[in-house]
Amino acid sequence: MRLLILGVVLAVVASAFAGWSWWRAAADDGWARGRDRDAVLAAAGPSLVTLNTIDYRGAGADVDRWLGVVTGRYRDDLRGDRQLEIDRATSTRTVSTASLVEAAVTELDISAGTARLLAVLDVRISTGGGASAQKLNRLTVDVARDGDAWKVAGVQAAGS
Amino acid sequence: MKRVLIGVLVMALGLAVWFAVEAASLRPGDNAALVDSPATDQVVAEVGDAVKAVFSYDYANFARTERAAASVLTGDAVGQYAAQFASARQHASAEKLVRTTTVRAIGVRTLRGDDASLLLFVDQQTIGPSGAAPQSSVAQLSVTARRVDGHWKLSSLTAL
Repeated sequence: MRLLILGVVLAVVASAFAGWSWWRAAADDGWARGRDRDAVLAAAGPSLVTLNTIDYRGAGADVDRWLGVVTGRYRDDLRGDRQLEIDRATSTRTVSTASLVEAAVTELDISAGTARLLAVLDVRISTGGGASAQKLNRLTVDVARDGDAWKVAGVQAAGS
Repeated sequence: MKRVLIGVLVMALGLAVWFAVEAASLRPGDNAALVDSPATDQVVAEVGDAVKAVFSYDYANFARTERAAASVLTGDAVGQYAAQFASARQHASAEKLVRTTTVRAIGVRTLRGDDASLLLFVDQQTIGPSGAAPQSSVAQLSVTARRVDGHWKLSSLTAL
């Protein structure tokens, strides 16, 4: 019985401590920045790959996938150019695939919900049914919080 | 009574496990990149300067580049750089070249204690003997750095 009481006391103390560390983890600004940094990287990599992936045989669906990973004015612009992008891919018979080589977050503004990162992307493009040409793209990428996701708000080639 | 205590024990243990799992999921790990702003700024500034110094040279004054290399390289980077620099030096002497390297963008990927990894976009301008047009080139570098006696040194260099 005494052992049981001791066990109850210890378990209550343990749960109080764990609850306190949960609260502290949620409230800690530094950890919040770290989580956002990781979330930005986790979202941006696949988004950039999506934005560089298109196959003229299913260009409509590919461009719709682009629209799913972008936000703000960039999305408005892409939406306006949707048919143009599809026509361009179809007429040149473009097939493009990409993979992320490396990325690093350079700016993070949690309250504004914006971030900027550097990314190196390995893009392989083939046109007209020819062999694919490989190119390393170096990019500066703006991302912004859209609801509870981070989405691409702009991509600039960094003079490559 | 005993039943109540067992119930409390089980509940408290359950809560402890739940809270601990939640707390662990919020912890972003020990990567201080962008979380510790002064430390991030320091590694950005020192690694940027180091890369500029070791990848810039003047055919008339290789000693300056060598001094820079001796003071900012450590570990694997020493050997990696020596091999590269030897061939660059030979070429530069023969062609009378002056190369200026600037850092266009730099981001810290990880920062843990005295170790960091960074991604850099660098631009290089090479000027030949008077009359020849300057040549521009770009490079993407993935570097690791190690803090030695309070200052960051390059410990490995990888061109992407």
